[in-house]
Amino acid sequence: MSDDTPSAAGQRHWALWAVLAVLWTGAVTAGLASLAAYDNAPGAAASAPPRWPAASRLAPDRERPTLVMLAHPRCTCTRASVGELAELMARAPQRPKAYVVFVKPGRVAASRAWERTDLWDRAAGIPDVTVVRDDDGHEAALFGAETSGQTFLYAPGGALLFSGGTTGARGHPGDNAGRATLLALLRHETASRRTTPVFGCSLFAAGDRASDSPAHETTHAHPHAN
Amino acid sequence: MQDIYARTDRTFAKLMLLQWVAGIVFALWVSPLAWTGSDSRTHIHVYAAVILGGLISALPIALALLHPGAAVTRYTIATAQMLMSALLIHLTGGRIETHFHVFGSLAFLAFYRDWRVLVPATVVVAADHFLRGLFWPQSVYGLLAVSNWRWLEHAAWVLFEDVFLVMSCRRGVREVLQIAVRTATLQRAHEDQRRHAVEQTELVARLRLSQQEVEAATRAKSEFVANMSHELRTPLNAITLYSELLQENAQADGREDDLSDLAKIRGASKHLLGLINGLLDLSKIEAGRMELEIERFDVRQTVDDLIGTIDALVRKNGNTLSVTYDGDPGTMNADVTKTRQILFNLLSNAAKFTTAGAISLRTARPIVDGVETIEFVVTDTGIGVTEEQKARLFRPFVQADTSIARKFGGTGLGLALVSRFCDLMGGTVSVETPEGGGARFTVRLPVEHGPAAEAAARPAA
Repeated sequence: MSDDTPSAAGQRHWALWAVLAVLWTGAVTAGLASLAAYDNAPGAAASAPPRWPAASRLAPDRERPTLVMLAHPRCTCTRASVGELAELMARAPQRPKAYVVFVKPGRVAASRAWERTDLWDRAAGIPDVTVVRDDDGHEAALFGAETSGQTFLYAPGGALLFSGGTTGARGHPGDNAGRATLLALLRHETASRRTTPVFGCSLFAAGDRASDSPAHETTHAHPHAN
Repeated sequence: MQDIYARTDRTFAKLMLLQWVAGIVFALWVSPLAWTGSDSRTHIHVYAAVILGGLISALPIALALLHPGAAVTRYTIATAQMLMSALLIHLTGGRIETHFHVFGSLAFLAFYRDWRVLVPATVVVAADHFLRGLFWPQSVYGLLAVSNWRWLEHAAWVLFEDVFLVMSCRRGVREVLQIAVRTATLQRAHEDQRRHAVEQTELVARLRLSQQEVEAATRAKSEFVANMSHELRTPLNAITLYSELLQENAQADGREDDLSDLAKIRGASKHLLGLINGLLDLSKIEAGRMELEIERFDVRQTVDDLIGTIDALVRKNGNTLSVTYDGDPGTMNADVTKTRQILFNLLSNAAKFTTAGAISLRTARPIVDGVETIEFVVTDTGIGVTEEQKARLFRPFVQADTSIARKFGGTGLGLALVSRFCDLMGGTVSVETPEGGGARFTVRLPVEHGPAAEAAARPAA
């Protein structure tokens, strides 16, 4: 600050600015840290069943692994998860049978097309992905999923291979441990871990699981030969 | 440089505001709500965009408005710009495209041309990567665990750009200083030029005044001479006349001794009369009162008449006189008296300074610079004129040198009058030394007197 030559009053003036700058730096740092903490705070992990739940209406594949992603249709963070799923499906040498299950809580059951968002369309646009509406969170409950973006990979025999998320932070696409692990498993390589944090909105609020409606809708996306 | 700092501060203040608004718009567009099942609330990103974005922008904007150009302002702006990059990256979910904001901001900071502003900016970026790598490595590197030095790799890319920006800043400052020095030099030169112009104007004014005084003095002198010449000529005419009468009487009475004395008196008075007439003509010309009497006359006839008059004078020193007409000289529309005077003065000069030699007069009618002229060339085999003498020849009262005046006499007015008459008639006179010695005088006069002929007949300078 060599170009400033203040008098005593000027020195007080600049001292005030200095104090303000320190406070400002502290406040901004705290704000950014809070934001980073939020973005990097994982949601509740799933209590995943070690084998494919028999009561699930989703049909697993007997020849190849089956991947299931549970998602909140309006969670903006899950855009990144769906994007990572598309990346995975493009890179996997052997594509798994993939489901994206959008949970429609019971309280909004009467709301037509509540689940039909751009996220639904995005997921439906991924080749070899089947998009399913999960009324009242029936499937989500069977798989023990709590957080949007929760992904499971089951072997052809039904054993759980992976349970976790496919992003590095909330709504944050790019390289991440979940995608790397899934890719390694699909390549039949050794994966260093079988679970990763899941970053997304909670699938259920209090009172969302009141009814037990069996109805669900299935949409098949553009089928591609493997 | 202060102007550059202040201007860039104000530009960044506007940019900060724009970025703040853009952050809010983006947050509302991309992630307006966070969900928990069927419940929704305003997404934390919206609060971050409004509150945190406003906080980041507030201090630098305030400093830019209150203290533009201060060092603390631009360092705060540099810091805030990088913090805004961090916020925008969060709001866009870490999109790789948003990271370009970091590099773009660094380039924009180079507009200050102060490489020091890159220091806080680079420190903020490095610290951000270090801390996030430490606490949330997966969000930065896509891995759950990374080396402690991985953040340096990201910082190195920023430093890579910094190197070029620092070079650019230093070069920019050098150029600004060079421009400043050149501008100062130019301003000084303009000042000097203005001062010089003022001095010149004053000098010109003084010279003009002096010239007017000189001209006035010359006119006064010429008028005085003209008046005095007139007063002198009258009694001289009487002396000449009475001396002629006395000569006639002495001849009739046979007083031979008186005849010689009377001849001397008559000769002296005629010489004095000739001098006074010459002075009168010269002073008339200098006073601007000499007028030309333009008429059409036959050139050959005029020359022949003149030869008849001057033949005796030429042959007095044993000289020969020849006249050559190079083609038919035709007629001239000019002042015949002045033309005759010019030729008489040249031939009488030639006769005076040539002994037992040859004097020739040649006429021609060439086209000079598109104007038809009459050319009279008087050549003699006399004593000639040196280069030094040529410079003084046509000045009044100046003969070739003082020894000429003593030896040959004369008033020194003849050639001066030739020169003045030629000028008046729009013609020229020149002198050269022909091969074999002597002198050659060439007079060119326009055939038709007029302003265009006068201008064209003068030789180029």
